[in-house]
Amino acid sequence: MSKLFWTSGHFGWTFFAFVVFTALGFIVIDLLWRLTNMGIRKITLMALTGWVAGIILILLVIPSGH
Amino acid sequence: MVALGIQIVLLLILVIALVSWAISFPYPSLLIRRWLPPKARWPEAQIRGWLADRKFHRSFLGYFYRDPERTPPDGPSIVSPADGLITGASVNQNVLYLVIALSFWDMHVQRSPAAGRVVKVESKGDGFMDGEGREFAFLREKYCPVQQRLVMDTRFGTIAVRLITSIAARRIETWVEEGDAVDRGQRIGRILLGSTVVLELPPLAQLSVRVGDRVRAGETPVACIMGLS
Repeated sequence: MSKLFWTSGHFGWTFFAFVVFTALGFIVIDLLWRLTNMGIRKITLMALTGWVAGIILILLVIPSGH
Repeated sequence: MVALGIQIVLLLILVIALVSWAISFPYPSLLIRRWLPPKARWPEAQIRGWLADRKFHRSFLGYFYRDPERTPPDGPSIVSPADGLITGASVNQNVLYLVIALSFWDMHVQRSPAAGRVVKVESKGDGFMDGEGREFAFLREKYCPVQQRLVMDTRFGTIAVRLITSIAARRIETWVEEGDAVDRGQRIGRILLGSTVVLELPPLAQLSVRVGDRVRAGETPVACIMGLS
């Protein structure tokens, strides 16, 4: 489990991808909220769905421990 | 070691982005501002806050003071003196009043609606609300309005352009004087912040715009006079 966060002298790539994806997703959602007339509920639902899909994809693409 | 360096740099950039977001909220952060259209880039609530504090973002002022070239259309029409939204068109005491409301994001340089000669430049200060202010909705609706009224002799007859703003902004620049000849679409002045421009036309003028239309200074034909071509 510890390899998920730290491996071979750097942050684990899975953990790193998770942090970067979450932060970038947050900024993109903020931009989308300002550019469209979407309601806060719809945009939150969209953000959560996208985030869950992205995390699943990260876990599938980057095996933990790398 | 290289991998860790890359990771730390990327994480620092993300931390800066998130801190910038938190500091700017609810307004857009510096990082995303450039990709937003003007209304989302500088929201109205933020501009009103600046207006109260008398402090503005330099980027907003740069946008606000823009003065693009405009080419009047061919033909004999009277063109709009300002960018904005038509909010009123009514005849009062034999004068047709066309009211154009300017938002914070509209271009604020006014242009002559027709070629002619300036015969009068009137300044009306705070006190005029006791007089004609009672009569006109476009004045009553403004908080302590101040205005400049430019009267011009044109081939269409006497027309006038009123540049109105509220006491909060209360700065109007007029760039023409009595006796000056003006071309159609020539720059005649500028109102600084939230404002209204009223075009006074002879009652025979036939409007080519309606309430709710958006117009552009020096470019959008707003009226013509029957029999004159």
